[in-house]
Amino acid sequence: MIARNTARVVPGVAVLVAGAAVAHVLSTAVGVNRLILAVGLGVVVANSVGTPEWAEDGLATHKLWLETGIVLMGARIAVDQLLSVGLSLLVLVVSFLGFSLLFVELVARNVFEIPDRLGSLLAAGYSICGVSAIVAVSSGVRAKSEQIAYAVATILLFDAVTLATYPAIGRLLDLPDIVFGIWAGISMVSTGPVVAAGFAYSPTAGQWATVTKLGRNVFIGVVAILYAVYYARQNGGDGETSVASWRYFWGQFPKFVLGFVLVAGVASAGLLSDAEVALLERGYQLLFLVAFVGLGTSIEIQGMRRTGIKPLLVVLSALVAVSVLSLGAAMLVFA
Amino acid sequence: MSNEDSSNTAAGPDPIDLAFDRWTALDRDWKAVILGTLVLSVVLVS
Repeated sequence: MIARNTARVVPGVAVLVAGAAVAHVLSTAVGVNRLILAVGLGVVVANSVGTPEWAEDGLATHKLWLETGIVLMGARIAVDQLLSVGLSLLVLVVSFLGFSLLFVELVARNVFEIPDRLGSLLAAGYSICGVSAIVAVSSGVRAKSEQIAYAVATILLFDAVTLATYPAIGRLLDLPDIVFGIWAGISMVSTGPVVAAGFAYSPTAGQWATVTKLGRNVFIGVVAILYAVYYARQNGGDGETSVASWRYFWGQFPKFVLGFVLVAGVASAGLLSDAEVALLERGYQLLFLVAFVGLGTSIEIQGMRRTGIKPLLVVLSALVAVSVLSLGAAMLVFA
Repeated sequence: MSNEDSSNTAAGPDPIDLAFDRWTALDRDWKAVILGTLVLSVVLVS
């Protein structure tokens, strides 16, 4: 069984590795950031010649490589520096998470008058971690499948747009690494594009972006339960749904974050030599490159046309509001 | 502009400079709490 599953993913993983190698070589030749090239390569291949069926299972493993890379990145995190800003960072992450959830809900219901359930999917998707959050809350929200498809297409569109624009805006404004990283971590959408944009800006910005984004991701379980309770009450229940449990919370929790914390703890305790830390750094850089080729192949430009204009305007208004406010906050607190 | 400069004027220190100086002197955590509360208040009030 394991051998059969492995055989199924090997061709696609080989495509990812080959793509990563091409991005690396091209990057040296044309002088463009290799992470951006890796994503771009994936987008171009997937939307021109398409991805062959035999490679699809392997290409879908890109999320695993990203999460493994983030775990290894724990070795490079300056834990003392992180602890020194930890409380202020957490306060901003929670405040903006609450702001974006309520903002999307209010704008979706009162301005664009889209169905409540679609608005909730967009709110969770934008506020926490994109498609994973949409999937996590969809059962509690009791959304229809076409609403899930709309929300996913909308969020993926903004993943692509923010990945292309954020590093450019950061350079235009000449933002300090920490400010850019925290800004991207708070206001961009899914984990992959946040990590890609952060590391495209600078290694330090990438680390701050990833840490900030992980701070958002850990709230996925709480938000999924809140939505499940809210919609159960809307439907005449007492809110005591079977999903509002510790087991449900644990089921939604992004476990790779624990791996990241563990590796960061081991490294900061001095249990790893400089050579081992350097090896882990090479490891996560390689894994990110492989993951971002896969991230690129998951961006279907044709599929984005399925998004309706109203969901698009809801998320656009939230992105503009959160982006402007969080940039101001990050500059006032961390610059 | 520093407090010292402002206090030399007849009208006293410029309130904007004073507010800026006080903000700069604030602890980072307090800055985050103030901004976070402001941001949440905006959306809760509306």
